[in-house]
Amino acid sequence: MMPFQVSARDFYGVMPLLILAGTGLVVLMVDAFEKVPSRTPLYLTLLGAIAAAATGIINLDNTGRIFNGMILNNGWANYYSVLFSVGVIMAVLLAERYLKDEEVLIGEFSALVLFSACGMIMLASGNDLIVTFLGLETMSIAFYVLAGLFRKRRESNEAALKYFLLGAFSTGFFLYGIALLYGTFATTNLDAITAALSIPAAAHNALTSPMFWMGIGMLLVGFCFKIAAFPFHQWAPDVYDGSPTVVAAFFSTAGKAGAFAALVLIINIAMAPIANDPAAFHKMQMVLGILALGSMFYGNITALSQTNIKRMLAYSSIAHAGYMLLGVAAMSRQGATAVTIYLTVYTFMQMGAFGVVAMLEHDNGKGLELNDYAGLGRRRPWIAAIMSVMMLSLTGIPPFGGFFGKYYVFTAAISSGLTLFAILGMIATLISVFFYLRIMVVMYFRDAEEGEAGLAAGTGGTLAISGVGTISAWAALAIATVGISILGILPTILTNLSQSFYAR
Amino acid sequence: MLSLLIFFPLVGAVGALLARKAEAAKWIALITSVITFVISLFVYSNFNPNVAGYQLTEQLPWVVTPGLAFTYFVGIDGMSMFLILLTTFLTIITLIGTWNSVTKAVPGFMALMMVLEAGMIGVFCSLDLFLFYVFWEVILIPMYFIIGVWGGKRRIYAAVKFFIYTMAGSLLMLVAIIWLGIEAGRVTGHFTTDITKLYAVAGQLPIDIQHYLFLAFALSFAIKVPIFPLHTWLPDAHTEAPTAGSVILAGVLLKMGTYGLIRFCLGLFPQASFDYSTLFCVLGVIGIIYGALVSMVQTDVKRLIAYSSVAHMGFIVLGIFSMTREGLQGALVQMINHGLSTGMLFLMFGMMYDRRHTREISEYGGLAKTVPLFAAFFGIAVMSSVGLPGLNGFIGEYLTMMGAYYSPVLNTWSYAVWSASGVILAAIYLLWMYQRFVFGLPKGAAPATHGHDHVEQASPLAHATLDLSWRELVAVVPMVAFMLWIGLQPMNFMQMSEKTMYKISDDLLKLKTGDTTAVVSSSLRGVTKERRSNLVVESKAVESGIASLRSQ
Repeated sequence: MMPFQVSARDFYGVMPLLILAGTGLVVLMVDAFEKVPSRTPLYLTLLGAIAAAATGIINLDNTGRIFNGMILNNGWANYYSVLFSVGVIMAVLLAERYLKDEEVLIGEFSALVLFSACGMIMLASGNDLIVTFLGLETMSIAFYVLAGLFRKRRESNEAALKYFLLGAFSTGFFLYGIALLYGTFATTNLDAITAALSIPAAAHNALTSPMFWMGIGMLLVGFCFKIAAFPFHQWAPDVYDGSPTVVAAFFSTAGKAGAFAALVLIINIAMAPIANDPAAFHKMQMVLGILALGSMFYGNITALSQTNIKRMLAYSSIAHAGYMLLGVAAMSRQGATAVTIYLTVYTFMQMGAFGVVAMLEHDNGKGLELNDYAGLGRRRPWIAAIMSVMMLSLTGIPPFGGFFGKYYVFTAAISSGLTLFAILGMIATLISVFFYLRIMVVMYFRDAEEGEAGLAAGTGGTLAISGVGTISAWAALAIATVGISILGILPTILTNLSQSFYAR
Repeated sequence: MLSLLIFFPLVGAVGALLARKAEAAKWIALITSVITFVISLFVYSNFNPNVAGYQLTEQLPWVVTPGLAFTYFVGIDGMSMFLILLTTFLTIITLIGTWNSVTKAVPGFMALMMVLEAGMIGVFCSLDLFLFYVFWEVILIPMYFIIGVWGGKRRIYAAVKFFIYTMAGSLLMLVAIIWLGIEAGRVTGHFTTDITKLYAVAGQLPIDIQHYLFLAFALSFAIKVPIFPLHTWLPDAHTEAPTAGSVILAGVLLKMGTYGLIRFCLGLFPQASFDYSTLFCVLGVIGIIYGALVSMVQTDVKRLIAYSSVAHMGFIVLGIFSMTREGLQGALVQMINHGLSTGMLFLMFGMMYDRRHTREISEYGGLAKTVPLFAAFFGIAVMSSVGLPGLNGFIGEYLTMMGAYYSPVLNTWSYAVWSASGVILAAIYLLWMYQRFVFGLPKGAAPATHGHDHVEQASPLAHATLDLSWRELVAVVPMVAFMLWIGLQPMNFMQMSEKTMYKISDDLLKLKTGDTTAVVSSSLRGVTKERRSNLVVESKAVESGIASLRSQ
């Protein structure tokens, strides 16, 4: 092995990560020394995230490995850096008003979000299972704290504890999986694993050894927990429900994207040579495909019976993890591109949907029930319109971005011979139509009487009057809406980038 | 030019939304739809009916990535030209006819109508399966809102049912489109959803894959048509939708299904179409008879008209799967006819509903006395729907039955005979409805409360019912004009699509029998010799009849 050398190029390659981490530290300091809470942390965070996104865009055409082959420095890593930065931007924009209402300082939130984004970037650019593990932990630890951000609220504490205990358990699985894979390949470097699988004899040895399958299985358990896929999803609804809404928005979009970026990197790209061994390839496809189907059906069917919108979105996020797992199950580069496109669109639409929920939430977690949305189309036409766009996009109806996400994933699955899975996936989508549509039914078709009466009697009408979001929250919703509209009409913007994702 | 036609209504949609005032929004929508109609006439003037292939095509790369490619590819042939004109025409008529029916959130309604129009034109122009799918889905959203926001009492149920039924079919179609594109990629080396390329490729696929793909497409279209037993969304959606929604739904949206059957099912999978033609014809005939029988027992006028749609669409399905020249041409004419006559029935009933606010037949009566003009025009619409010779309905039903009779694919005349019984049943339920609705004693609000018998005197409400206004006449007169025109001079219209439909039929039959000239004789296998020669003579007579019609 080469002696470990670090050059300026290495640091330049991880510039988005460094910027985000640096911003996080500065924000912490500012927050600590500030006597009167101000908006400075918000502006700093935005500035840092925009700078990180910009460096990510500049670095898109980079190629090669840095830090001695530990970290990827290609389109894949940098594209995801941009995506996470955009996620950070939307999250903090949404959070400002929301947190002020709940009397939590934006500084703590921003710093934690920035640190977790650093973890995500490590996940997406880890070319070594150890880096992947580090990324996963960095992200998760920040998340555990974020879930408990509302110290005074019991649900928030419960969510944090639940997430932490189960998360720690799943990390154990993940680490054990890495150890077993190291036992199989005598390396944790993804390039080396690809090389080993490309040699027929070595591949045969690895793919017939139980150690490999145990290792992959353990690794999948760890990932499935993080992406909230069936049957490791049980924490998700409680944690999403108990956490602050903006935190749940960030968990379910950027957090999921981080874990998926690493999963795809390992399965679809590093282990691509498995395709040469039909039996093993088929076995992997079946495992992933069944996880995908389980998530889709479980998520969608359970979401049907939810009346709390936050929980409904949590279950729907389980289902969306299923659609993306179908792209992973394709075990091809096409699948990797499809998952990336899906994640991008999903970040916009899920963030948008949660953003609307956060905007309408008031008085310590009220205004989350389906009935609170009655007549919204009349009372708050713009919010209702944005929510409708998000719901239609989540359903996967053109001309919104969600459609192309589903289209690419299903195309990848059918190309890899998973036609039956794709058809079942469509049936699962059909189930989802019902509850996404129900929100629109409530907003537009049901008269506002119940909602308004409830407000007038109970809470003093905050939802209808003072709940108007600040400019920053509107900006976040605008980003989300514009994002999914553009991706719905011109998905080529993304697909053209996909060439750079696999540069070596 | 086609792109202008497709996207121009969207300008009106934005305009109507920005207008904010109800009156302004209405005028913007109306002016937009009139301009769209003029554009469609302009397209027609540039359309050459003597060419069978696609014309006025426009193609732009849209999403091109390795392994995936779809283009923005639009173009028209005789079949689409017909349906586009129907769409643009009906939209204007609907807007005029229902000018005052919509009272709440008018700008939104008008914007949705314009989006709907754009989507419908887009469906009929798309030559790329993927683009077709996008337009197909885009239509779903405005229609869902139109039913759900402006509909009747059970509107939410109807809207959700409509959405889920259609979505079930279209998702399956999406899988089929992707699968077909990938399979085509295996044959030609390039993923494609361009139907002009797929026509050449689809027939080479393994036959079982063809069957699966055919069924996926056909199921999606069958839900839209709707073919029995997938029709149950239709009565609810038609009944609960506001008048404008019902007219567009019956007039154009149902045609998207039959259009898809011809364009994609027959066009892409001829072999599978032969194999399933019996199934679809049986379902078509069941639809004709079932729809008629169920219509007969309806007490709600809109539901009755809705079930009559099931019956009428059965004729179209029968015509399509007979795959003969007459059958296909008849199916297309029947699509237009159904758009006109059922559209007019819904429109005129909507006018009456605005006056009386009830859909029960038993609440009406004596309209011939109180509103004679309405009764007369409604009568024409009913007659057209019944299929009275001289009006448009006759020619379409006649051609489809003739096509089914001679079809070498079906190889039996029994479908034609059974479907003919549907014509008689149509006369029964429609005329009976007309009798109860229009004749008899005028009825109105609740019966008089005082004791003695009041039969001779109509209630004040019935007298208060106004006859058609000038605005309403402007809406219905052109429709009647077209009904008479098509009924008396069908050749003027049929020329437009003749080349296209004949080519579709000839290609299919050539594949089936190996020889087009043998079409008539091959269809008579199994018939006794004398009967066969008689039929040949008859069919010759029919052909000469058509020729003489054409020469007029």
